[in-house]
Amino acid sequence: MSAVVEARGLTVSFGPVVAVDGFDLTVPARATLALVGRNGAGKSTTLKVLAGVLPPTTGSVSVAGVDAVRHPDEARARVGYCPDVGGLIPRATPWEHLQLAATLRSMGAGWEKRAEDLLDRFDLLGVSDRITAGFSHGMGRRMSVLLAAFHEPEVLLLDEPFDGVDPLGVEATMDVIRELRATGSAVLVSTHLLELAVQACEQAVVLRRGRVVAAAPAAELAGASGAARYRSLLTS
Amino acid sequence: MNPSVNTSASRQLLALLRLRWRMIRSQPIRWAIAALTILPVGLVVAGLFGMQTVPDDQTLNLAVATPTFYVGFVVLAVLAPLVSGGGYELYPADQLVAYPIRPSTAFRSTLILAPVNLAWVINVVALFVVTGFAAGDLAWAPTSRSLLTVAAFILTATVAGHAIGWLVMGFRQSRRGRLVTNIIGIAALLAGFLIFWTDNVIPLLDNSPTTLVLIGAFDGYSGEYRSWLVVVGVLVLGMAMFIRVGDAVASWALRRPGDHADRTSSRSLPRRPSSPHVMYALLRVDHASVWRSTPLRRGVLVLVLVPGVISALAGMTWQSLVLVPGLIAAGAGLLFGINAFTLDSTGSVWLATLPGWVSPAYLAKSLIFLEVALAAVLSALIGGSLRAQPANSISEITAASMSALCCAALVVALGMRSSLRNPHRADLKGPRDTPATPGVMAAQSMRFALVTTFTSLYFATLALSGAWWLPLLGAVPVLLLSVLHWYRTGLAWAHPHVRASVVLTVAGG
Repeated sequence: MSAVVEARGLTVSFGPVVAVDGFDLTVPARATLALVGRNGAGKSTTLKVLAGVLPPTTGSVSVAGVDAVRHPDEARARVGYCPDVGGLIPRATPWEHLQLAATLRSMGAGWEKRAEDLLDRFDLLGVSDRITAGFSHGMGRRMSVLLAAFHEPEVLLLDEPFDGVDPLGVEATMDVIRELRATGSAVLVSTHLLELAVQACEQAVVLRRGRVVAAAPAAELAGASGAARYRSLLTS
Repeated sequence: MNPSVNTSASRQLLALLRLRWRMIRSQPIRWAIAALTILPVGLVVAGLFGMQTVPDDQTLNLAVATPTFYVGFVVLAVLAPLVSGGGYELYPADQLVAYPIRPSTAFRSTLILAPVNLAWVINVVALFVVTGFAAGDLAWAPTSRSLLTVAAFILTATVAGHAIGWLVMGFRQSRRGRLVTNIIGIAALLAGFLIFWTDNVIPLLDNSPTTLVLIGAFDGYSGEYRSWLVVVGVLVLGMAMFIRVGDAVASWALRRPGDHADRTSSRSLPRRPSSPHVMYALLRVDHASVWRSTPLRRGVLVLVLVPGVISALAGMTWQSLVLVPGLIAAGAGLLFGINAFTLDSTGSVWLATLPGWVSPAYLAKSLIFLEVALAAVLSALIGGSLRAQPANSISEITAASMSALCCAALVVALGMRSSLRNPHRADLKGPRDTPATPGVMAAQSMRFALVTTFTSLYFATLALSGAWWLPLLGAVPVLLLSVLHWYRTGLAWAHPHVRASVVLTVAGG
């Protein structure tokens, strides 16, 4: 199966701090991959590079067959990204976010129907015309996931999508992941919530100090034995 | 007992100031801030010596006008904190929620930051120079006593203005309070118009209590110690009283639950049809970000209305109108332009993942900024032209117009460069929120003031030629320079590393 996300020798440095230390990553279509690890392991930085927000210091990144460094706009068109913090314009409403996304992504007529449907599924329809500055943390997370999935991207990048989200919101996020996967998208989820990572993804990559220390089926990290193994990977 | 409970406001303030100073990591910026602190003192000394060249027969004219300058300062001292919800803050409120900061510390920190307002600094320098000149020939001890009097007046007026600012901010936390303060504001405005149209401005100013301050300064100069000490004593007592009042008012205002932000964020807004044009769609979101932000909305209204009304009432000459746009354009730059991408705040990371966003985003921010700057300078120009004395030549009119256009263009060019060089996380949600840290605000205000004042003087000089076309021709290099500066900043924005740094910083990442 062809790789939808491919990173080779990916390195991201902030001055003397190396956030991502030359790792390789290959994610095929219809794959769901969890990025797990401690704070500062490089999970969010990796997703920012894949989303085109942050350029890599060295290495190559290809998204849906497009070189994300040389053709960032084409890569962005294929990616949907939910950042780890915020991700919403504070004085714009959810509907205005969707309108802007639809315009910039050149989504054709009919986007409103999908927007309304997603707003309903994430229980945000009733607040779709209120500015997001008044949203709770969980509402903001749900809206960010919705925006990432709105244009049915080939690559869905979710950074801490479950953080502070209620069970119904988690369910809606899981549904979206399943749906996009079924249509051929690759989904990458970065989270500290191991149980939910296992539930959402088939594969898992454990990061430590910017490097991949383990890659395995997510199910191997499930339960008490999986948690113990995960813990040993983080500390060994 | 928790030791922090007993920490006095002064000690808390000192600790906060120390931390703020430590947070300035760049040594050149520290030097720049130190230089900016000393600069007004240098300007006062230079001004005092410079005024010695003015003929003695002008001393009386200036002495007569000085109490009016004092009244002008009182108006500024009250208006400035009113506009900023009590004054500038050392730290955004959300960064201090974990600490037991006393309300009096919050009040006093806004007092410390009064000099961040460029108009305040300019007025203070002017008051010192004018008073020193009006009092008499320069002499170390006598002039010092007269300046001490005006210093006491400046401090008292500033403290009183901030106390009033906090009081109004507290009132405006409720619907009824907003209604009452709006009525008082409109009534004050109407009273001002009434006084103006009934030709009572001069009689009122003649009877202004600020005359007593000038008399005190004269007494200090001439060695009438008893009466001088009475004036200074009253002013110092007034200042101490207003500090106490301000402490109490801040404590009350900060305890009020406040419904304004909740009201804004919980209200459903009408949907507007989508736009197929990227630029229009971005401009619409940026407009919303400005108009739905309390400090920005208030700032824009004040910038556009107040200079226009004052210029209209003042009945200025066209020669003076050439100089007006500079300062107003500088004020427009400080509203949000020095950190323009903070309009998107946490949303900037998401926006950066949208295809086709990069160049239109830079253009949209620049246009919104230019719109505000032009609205402010043109309002002052149009307002001033309504009652301006006839121009000596058309060149004065073209010079004033070109000065307005060029100052706005320069401020936008400089502001966009600053937006890339000094990005800062700022929510611009609360009434006292500013787009940058106090140090950056002070440095940028001085930078804008220098550039725009120089530009205004350049056009004032061109106007003297009497050739109407010369200011138009003179505007070409200034506009080209602005566009070039802006374009080069745009090229930097197109660089992924620069853009990532801006986007992640304003998003707080």
